[in-house]
Amino acid sequence: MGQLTVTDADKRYGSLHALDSVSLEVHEGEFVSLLGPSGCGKTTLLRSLAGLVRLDGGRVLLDGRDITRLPTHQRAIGFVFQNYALFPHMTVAENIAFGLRVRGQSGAEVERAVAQALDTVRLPQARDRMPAALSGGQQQRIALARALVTKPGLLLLDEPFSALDRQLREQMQLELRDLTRRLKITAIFVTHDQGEALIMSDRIAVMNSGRIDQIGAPGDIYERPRTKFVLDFVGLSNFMPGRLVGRTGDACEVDVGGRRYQATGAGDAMQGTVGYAVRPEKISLLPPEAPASHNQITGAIRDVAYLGDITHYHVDVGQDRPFLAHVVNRSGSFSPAVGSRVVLQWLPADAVVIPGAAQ
Amino acid sequence: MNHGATADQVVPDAPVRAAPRPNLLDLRPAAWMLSPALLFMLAFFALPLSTLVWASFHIYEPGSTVPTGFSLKYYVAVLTDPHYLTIMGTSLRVAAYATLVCLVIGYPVAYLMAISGRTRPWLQMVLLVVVFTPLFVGVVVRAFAWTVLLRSDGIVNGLLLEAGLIDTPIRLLFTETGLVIALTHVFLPLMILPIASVIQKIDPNLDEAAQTLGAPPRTRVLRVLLPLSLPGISAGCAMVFCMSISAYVIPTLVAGGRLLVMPVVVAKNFMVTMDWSAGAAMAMVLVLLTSAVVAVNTFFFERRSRLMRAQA
Repeated sequence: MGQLTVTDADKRYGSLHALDSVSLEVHEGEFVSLLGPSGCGKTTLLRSLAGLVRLDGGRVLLDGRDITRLPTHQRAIGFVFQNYALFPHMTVAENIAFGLRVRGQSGAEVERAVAQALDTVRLPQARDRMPAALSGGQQQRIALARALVTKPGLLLLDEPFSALDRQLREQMQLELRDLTRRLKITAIFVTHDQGEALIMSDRIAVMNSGRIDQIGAPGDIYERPRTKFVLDFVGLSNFMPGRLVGRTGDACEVDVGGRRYQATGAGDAMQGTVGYAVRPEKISLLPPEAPASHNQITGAIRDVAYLGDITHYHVDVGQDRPFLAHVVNRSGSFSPAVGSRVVLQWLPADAVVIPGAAQ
Repeated sequence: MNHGATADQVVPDAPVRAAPRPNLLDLRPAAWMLSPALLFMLAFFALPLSTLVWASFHIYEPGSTVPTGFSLKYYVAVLTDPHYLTIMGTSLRVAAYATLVCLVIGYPVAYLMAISGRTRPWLQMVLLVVVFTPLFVGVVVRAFAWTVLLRSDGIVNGLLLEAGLIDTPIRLLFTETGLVIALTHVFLPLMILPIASVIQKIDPNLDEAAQTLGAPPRTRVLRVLLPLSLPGISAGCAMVFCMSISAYVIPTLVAGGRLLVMPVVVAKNFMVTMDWSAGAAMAMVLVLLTSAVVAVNTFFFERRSRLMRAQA
């Protein structure tokens, strides 16, 4: 249950190409996030899986069955809305029982399932209350219970935690993750919050202008972004436009304004103009007398932000933007003051090369 | 007693005072803003109404404005005399039918008006104009128009004959059916507007949530849309019912003197038979009836909406 295949999904709203031939394969029990800025098509894709948006083209298969034209109420799915969408005129128990009653169940059977669903989301005491009497986090848990009680093959979640405060959001993220693992349920989770996507997902699909730019495990997305968009959208980076000048096996060399930097993992198809990027936490901060090596750049500290566990350094290296270096605070670690000259250094394997990105 | 303290040593706690009672003379500026309206209502509504109440309990010689004694006989008459009961029955029946027909015709229009606001604003605009425009035409003109339309040789009969639905013209003028048709037409906007405004406020995600939970269209209408639009339905019904049962001009023009409804009889008592007390008593019954409808409506839905907002 819960094997999903989307092929060439296409949707236009007037001149806006909301979904541009999107294909996606989600395996049973997998947790996949659709990550992107507002207007990238992630919600349109999610709603099309629920049948709430009618696709202009393409196919949606759930467990091998073509559901592209199937009305929403005939699809075995669960959907969790950003604003919870609990029925305000029904009690919590009635809300949860709704999907079961619609399926013709009644009596003790429903009672048992509702009680179990309330236990699953740890809110048995909310049974007879009205949704309006619950807090946002509680309402979202009830919405989750309501979506899960019918045992759907596919759970769709549309930014379910974005209305919650940070602490509650983090708690709910872990709970949901735990729940989907325990129930072995396939989940597709829409979010614009990269941290949320990284924490929860088996795989992340980063969407941009109606397309999936890149899909992969959180580590892949963060460490090996394949486009400038993914690089910028997920995490911070020091980005330099350059030219690919040499390649030996997996290793390559990029020319950035006369300086040569090394990297690994540039795709075979890549050549000519490329972008060269290093994440701030990959950078080592060394005193000016450090021995010369590959992948170094010297500069002067412009700004220091102490965050407790780490320190953010902004280093002037004679480029448009300062270099960012995030350094873990340990006793005795090198901690230069504003104005000090420093050497920045990184490993070739920590650098990222992306194609064609002239800024 | 306080631990060993003698009475004169007891230091009083913060003096217990009754919460300050709202002083009716201590009107804040905001309240003064209401005073022109209040004065108007006092002079032209409360005062006449109280003379009506007074009149309904007293006996007057025809033509005299000085009562000759106290009596409940007019109320007894209005509430027991078959003549009056028939009139009340007709009134209630006509108003109930008009309300029902307004609801059946008005609900789909209200629904369309409410949901078209999201996807097709132009359609909502068209519907608003269509629903509102008749309100700008005087009720006398509209009622008179119906007397023309409903005549035996009028357009309605003509169309029905043309369509082959009837063989001979049916009598609509001076009948309850004709009156219900005219009342429905005149008061339909009062049904549509409150329902549309309530439906417009229903979160569209609720219908989608019901879809994702497996509810087919019929179930979604019965279990989600209708229960959530009840406040609008109830407000619309209360308004149309009250307006229909107290309508005077429309029954006078459409049904002439031949179909007696309460407002027509009240007016007749005051202006033709000079039987003020009986007219006043019937007017009071009418006032109490409409007030009761409004009160029940308000009480029931205040309670319900409080429950939906939060529960203790």
